[in-house]
Amino acid sequence: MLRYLLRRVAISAITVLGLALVVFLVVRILPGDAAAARLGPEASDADIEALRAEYGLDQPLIVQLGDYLAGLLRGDLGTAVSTGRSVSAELFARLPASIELAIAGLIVALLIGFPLGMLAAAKRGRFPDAIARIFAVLGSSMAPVWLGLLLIFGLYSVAHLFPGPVGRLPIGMAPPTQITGLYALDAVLTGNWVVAGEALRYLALPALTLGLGASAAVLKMVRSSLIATEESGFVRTALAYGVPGREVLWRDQLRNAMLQVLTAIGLVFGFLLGGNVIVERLFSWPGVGRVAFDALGSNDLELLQGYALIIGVIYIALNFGVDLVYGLIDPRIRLGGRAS
Amino acid sequence: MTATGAQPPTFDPALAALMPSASASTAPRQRRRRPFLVIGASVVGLLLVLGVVGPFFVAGPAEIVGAAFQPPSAAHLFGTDSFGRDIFARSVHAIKLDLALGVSVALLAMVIGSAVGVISGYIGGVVDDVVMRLVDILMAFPGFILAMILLVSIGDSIPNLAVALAIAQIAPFVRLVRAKALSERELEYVTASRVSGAGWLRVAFRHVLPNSIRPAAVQLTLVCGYSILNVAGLAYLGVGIHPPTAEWGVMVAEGATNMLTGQWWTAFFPGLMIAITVMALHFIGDDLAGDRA
Repeated sequence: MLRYLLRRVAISAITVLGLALVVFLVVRILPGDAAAARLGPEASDADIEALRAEYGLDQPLIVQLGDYLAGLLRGDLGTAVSTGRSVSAELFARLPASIELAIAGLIVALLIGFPLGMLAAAKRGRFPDAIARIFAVLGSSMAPVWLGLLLIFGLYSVAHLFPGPVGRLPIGMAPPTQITGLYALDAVLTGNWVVAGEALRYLALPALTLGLGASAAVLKMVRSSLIATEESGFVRTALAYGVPGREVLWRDQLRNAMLQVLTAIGLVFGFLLGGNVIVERLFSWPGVGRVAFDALGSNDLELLQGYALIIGVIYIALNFGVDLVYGLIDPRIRLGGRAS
Repeated sequence: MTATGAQPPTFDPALAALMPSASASTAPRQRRRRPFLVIGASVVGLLLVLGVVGPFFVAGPAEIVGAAFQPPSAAHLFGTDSFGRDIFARSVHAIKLDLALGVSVALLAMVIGSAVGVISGYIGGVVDDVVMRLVDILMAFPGFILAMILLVSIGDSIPNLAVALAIAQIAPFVRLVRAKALSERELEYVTASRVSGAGWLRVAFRHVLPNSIRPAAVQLTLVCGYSILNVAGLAYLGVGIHPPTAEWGVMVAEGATNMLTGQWWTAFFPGLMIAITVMALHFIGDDLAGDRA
């Protein structure tokens, strides 16, 4: 197990380093000049040079890279030009809002995708399977903006069931005392039931938008991993011994399929956390995706670079966590396939 | 699947969804109806015809045909937008651009990804290790974010948009082709061509690649669909394609605020065009991938 763990740590560390390099290269080397882009087309050459000097862009690339990596080790992601605050402060302040949204989206995705995937696998090739497949294709065919707009139109503009896309709480309502930064959770922890209720109501539509799209992916994964276990010897044996199919599905297949589904959930969560720039803009949700959108608008490459790095690191950390759990549960994996 | 034995233990849903299940090839052949393929191909065919012929029969993409915000009617099937432009006409004009972008992104990603994948899988060793680490890094971003950052760095234009989206989609192609090449290189025809004096480049590209490309080709229609969605997403964030271009994503973005004030049709119909197109591409891709099980 220790060897497996060390190997995973090493791979993750290399990937993080590589990630930092790639992000650095993308932002600094590619044809666009960060300083020129930042100052806009009317800037004089002297202004551009001054800015380049201020941010060390006139230094040799290798020096820039050294500064950048040394900064990263201190947790310094640079300064956001558009706001003048540090990139890490800018992003970490907004992270809880994105995590809250991603968790809510994941819950929606699992609640919809899991049962439908099981149903599709159990009734494989029959009517419910076809319906589930059409649902899955539909879910992955809608542009997230469009799906969000449809939900806003139907459930807010017409039905008035949920609040409009104005952020995390009604305008003027004070957020709960910060503990985790997740409004709904903080409000419950501090017994502030009115705020908790409102926070959940405001969370509903963006979470539904994110979750519906992701539920298609969950459905597909649950279905395909259940079907994969169906073909393995233990299922055939159990069925041959006369164990009812329903019991085999719940007790044997699901447990084995969970390994893959778990990994899938890690990936989906990563996507929800990183892929929500659109949903955060649409619902005025003040998360990291919203920061990225503002950075796009103000051409703040420093901030975009920090955003990409944080999303990448979270993603790698999630994968690492999932690999660990995977290794804990399944001895075949931590032994490097030798047992099979 | 022999190829999965050589894979790292990380489960890749994109791969798994594409791999035909092991029994599909060994089970007794059954008469298969393929309704999804038929529906998907018909819709794409119809769109192609409409995209080529349609523009001659509808109003121009920037032409103001009447009052703003007319709801859908017989005269204006999809209604008119805030400038009084015909949304149906604009949607038809957009077909060419959206499909061309989707197809070119998918082809570009496949060409680069397959070339890298076959070299990585065929040569193996250190080259393979380095390539796979790079692929891991590429996959550490959601493709949409990667495309967004790339596009901003290399400059916002339509050709750059295609390049950025393609780079963001390379990783799955590399993985698919590499996995297949790993198992192909052990087969006798490879040894045969090697002993008959063919260099590694020739063996890799003339012999291994054609036999390893199928899983990648299957991915093509799916990537085409993702790209159309990503173009729309980027347009909503104000990068990639900009107004007043007639493009579905731009039209959804332009209509977004109207949704709150009741003129639902301005964003609804262009978004519907995206959904129908991507769905048709998914139907084709899923069928070719053998997902019918």
